[in-house]
Amino acid sequence: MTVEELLIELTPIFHSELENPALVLKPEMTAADVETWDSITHVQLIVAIEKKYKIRFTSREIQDLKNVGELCSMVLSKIEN
Amino acid sequence: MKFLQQLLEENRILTVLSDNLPNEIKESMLYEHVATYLEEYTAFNNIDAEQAIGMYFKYIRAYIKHCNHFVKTGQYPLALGINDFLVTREEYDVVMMLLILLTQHRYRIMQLLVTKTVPAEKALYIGLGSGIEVKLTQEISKEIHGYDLSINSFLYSKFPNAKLNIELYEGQFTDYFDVVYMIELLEHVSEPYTLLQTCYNSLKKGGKIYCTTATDVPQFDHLYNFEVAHNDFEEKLKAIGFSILYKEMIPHLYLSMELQPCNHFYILEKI
Repeated sequence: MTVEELLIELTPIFHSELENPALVLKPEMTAADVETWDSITHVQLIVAIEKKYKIRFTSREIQDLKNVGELCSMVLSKIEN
Repeated sequence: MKFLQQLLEENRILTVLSDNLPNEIKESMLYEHVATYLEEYTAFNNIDAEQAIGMYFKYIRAYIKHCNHFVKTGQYPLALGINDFLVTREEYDVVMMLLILLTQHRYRIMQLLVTKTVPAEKALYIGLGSGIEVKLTQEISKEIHGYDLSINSFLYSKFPNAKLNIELYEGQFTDYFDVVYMIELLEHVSEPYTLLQTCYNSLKKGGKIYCTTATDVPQFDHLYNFEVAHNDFEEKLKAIGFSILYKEMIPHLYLSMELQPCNHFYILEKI
């Protein structure tokens, strides 16, 4: 799976968890760019992604994620493993 | 701790939030005391883990919504006339106790309360809530008086010797108390300085108030009583006759939003 394909798959999760159906995901997008992306919705987002792909993030990984691109890289690496 | 463990096992989001707390918090006696008290409170009220989790997320969803309104308007929900969040005494108490166990700022408030408070003959608690502040400090006070607009029956069984009153505190005592606790209360009252003056009058000379303020915390039942800078607040305290013995700003940790929510913890002395 490519980053672009993953972005398409992640989009409905972001729409639902961040309650923003107009959001267009870009790799450089950060929490600061999205009004509803706060610390709680961040965790909700990660947990929803964990559930969809049957993967687990560590607390450190969740805290250190800087943008959507990093999230995609981490998801892809966990799926491949 | 069994009940807390059950909550964390049943809900991944709570696990992640808990994992983000430093180990020194999770291994502390204070943390264990709060977890045990939560377990006793929920058992007494027949609240199971699933219900407690539901209460927590009901609150969080409303809080996020109200934060978003606040970012857009600069107004708290009450000021906007938004009254869409109904909560029972038990729901509110459970959520507030869970927040001590899941957020650093609420844990820090309790930590300051426990470490800074000194033995007192007569203590007054305004805004009893779940009773957790009484639980954490009761052993150093000989006579306990508590006030709140509603009180869960658990508190009567837990603190049988305390004088608990379901009413507003309006200065029923004068020059009587050695210490007054008003933790996370002043943001709930429409005239905080009137209440502080009332408490001043109720204290003996040299008596202390342990209190907190909240700024940029758009909880459903909060009033915007305090600006980020507390100069005005402190000037008014001094005008009443208090000296400030201790103060600490306690930021809430958020990833984003243009919010910088925080509490301030104060210890005041009647001079």
